[in-house]
Amino acid sequence: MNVGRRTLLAVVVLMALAVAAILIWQNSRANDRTSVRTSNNGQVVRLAEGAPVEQPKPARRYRIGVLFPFLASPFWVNEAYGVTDQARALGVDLVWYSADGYDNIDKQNSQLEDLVSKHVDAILIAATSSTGTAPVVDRAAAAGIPVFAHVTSSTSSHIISAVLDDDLEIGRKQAAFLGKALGGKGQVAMLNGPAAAEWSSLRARGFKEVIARDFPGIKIVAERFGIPDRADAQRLAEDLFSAFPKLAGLFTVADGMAMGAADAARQAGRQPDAMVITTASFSREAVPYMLSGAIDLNVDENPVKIGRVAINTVVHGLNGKSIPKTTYVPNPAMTRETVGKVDPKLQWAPDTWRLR
Amino acid sequence: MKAKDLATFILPVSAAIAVVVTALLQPLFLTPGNLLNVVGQSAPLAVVAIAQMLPILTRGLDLSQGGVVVATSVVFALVAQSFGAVAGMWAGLLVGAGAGFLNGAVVGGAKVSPFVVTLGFGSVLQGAALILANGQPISNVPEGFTLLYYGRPFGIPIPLFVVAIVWLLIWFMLQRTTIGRFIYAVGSNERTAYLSGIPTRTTLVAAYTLSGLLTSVGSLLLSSRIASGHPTAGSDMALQAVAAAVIGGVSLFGGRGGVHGAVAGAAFLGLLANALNLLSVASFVQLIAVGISIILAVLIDRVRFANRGGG
Repeated sequence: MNVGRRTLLAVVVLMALAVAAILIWQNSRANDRTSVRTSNNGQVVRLAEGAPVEQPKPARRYRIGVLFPFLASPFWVNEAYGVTDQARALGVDLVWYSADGYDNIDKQNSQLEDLVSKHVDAILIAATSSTGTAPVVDRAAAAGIPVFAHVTSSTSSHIISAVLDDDLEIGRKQAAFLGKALGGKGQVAMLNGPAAAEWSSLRARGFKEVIARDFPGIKIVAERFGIPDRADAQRLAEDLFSAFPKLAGLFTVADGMAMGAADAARQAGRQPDAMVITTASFSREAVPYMLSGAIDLNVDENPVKIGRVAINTVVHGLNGKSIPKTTYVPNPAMTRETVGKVDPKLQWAPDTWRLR
Repeated sequence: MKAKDLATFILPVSAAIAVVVTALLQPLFLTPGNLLNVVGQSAPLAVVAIAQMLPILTRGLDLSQGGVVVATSVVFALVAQSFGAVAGMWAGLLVGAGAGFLNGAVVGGAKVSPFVVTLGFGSVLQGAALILANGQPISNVPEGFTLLYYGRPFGIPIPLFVVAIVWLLIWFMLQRTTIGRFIYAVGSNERTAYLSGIPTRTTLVAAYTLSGLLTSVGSLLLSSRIASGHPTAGSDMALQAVAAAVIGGVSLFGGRGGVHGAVAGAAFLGLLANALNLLSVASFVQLIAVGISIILAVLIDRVRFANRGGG
């Protein structure tokens, strides 16, 4: 008997057992799930800046499955901290998985299916792909499990409620600040994220919209796309400074890029005051750049708050309370003057915190 | 019982133990819904692992699979938008077969390392997919296309039929046809095969072409699962397929192993991921568990074939 036959035998036996099990269970299984009536009220809510995060009381100890697309960046670590710390504070159990990359849509779909198999009370997904996850979200809903979204939603009509930051608004705020700081005239360039990234294109759109409407004297002379990290942005910015010596302002989609651009500006011999750089994300690393005036405006994405509000929304929904269809967390604009007033404990995950 | 005989039983026995232990700890594991999920989740990898097995049997490797997966997915979606899902699927299959033919022609014709050649072609295909798709996922594929993955005639997922058909056809080819015997002969000892009159070049071209074609089949399942033509999703499938094949006992030294092993390896990886998810094992720890099982599989492969001669 060779190896192939033995393996075949084992596989056949396992498959036969599986099929038998399927037949038995399919006949015996009634719909043993009491489905939760969870729905939204169709509203879009914008939370006020500085409003405290509420602490709803779960009707029982819920078990929530949470999906992250990726956890190897400051944004996602902070967001995951918000999710897990709020769940701990409210007394809610979490089961979380990471797809370990935006390309791993298939892996996230499997994780979502596995959460359905586990009969969690609700699923909170940050989608790797808004369209690629939709069929599985639909199936989870059909199985009676309410699905919520945080940070990035799905195109499925079965997402009950989503907690997001407003990327258009993040771009608009940068345009308003930059336009005013430059007195309504001068050359401006844009450093965008990857061409395919929706969050980046929305921020860029919001920026261009306000510049075109309110600051006709400002000319956008260049628009570049890149990975939102320091090294890539530094290279892009160096080329921009060479090509446009009269550049007075720079829009960047995330502060990793702004830090790279600020480094490039310093090396090009430009004084911090001679160049207005705006950005978003507001990570801990950017604070020194803001205090020195190298970065002039940093719009806060508020990842910890998104995480906390998302858990609250799921709990409210499971409690049967009326919840909005979409909730936008505030995205306050941070400047050199306001950055000193930030409480690091509320703003970011503590240094000692580890995801478990 | 010798060590190598013991090693033969390790995969089925450890899989059985894992199933029983998981079922005891988590009763939801053996529900029909979950088992059908596992079948579906493992199906694309099973087909791609069968595809990978063919070059490995010739003592080669096909690292272009990731490129074939994304190029097939994008070409399918673009053609399907204008000419319908069926035309799109044919176009996608043509991409895989064409890429496989080129791989085989260069590997067999120029006698160069399959590792480097297929890595190169994979990169070309990845680039082409990104250019064709303009870097973005193509989400407006024909509505009915998702049925390829999610459809369940008679309660049985369509991917299971696809795997079964590919499995049977390749099993028949390897066991009952001349080309099948040639593939094993080339993998066992290419020089001896050549001297005994076996057309080694044609055999390699056939193995790689078929590999490309089957990879495209796997890609279509995957594209249906994510309801889009995607220029990057699945780009890491070549290494997963190698892992599945090796776990299933397909030897990287060529000429040993078979289609049952490739399917079993993919099923094992699917079951493992599902079981770890259901047992709420943290994502980061899961990566370690999968890595360890791959390393163990290679060690078992080594023990099993250490004392055997030409095969």
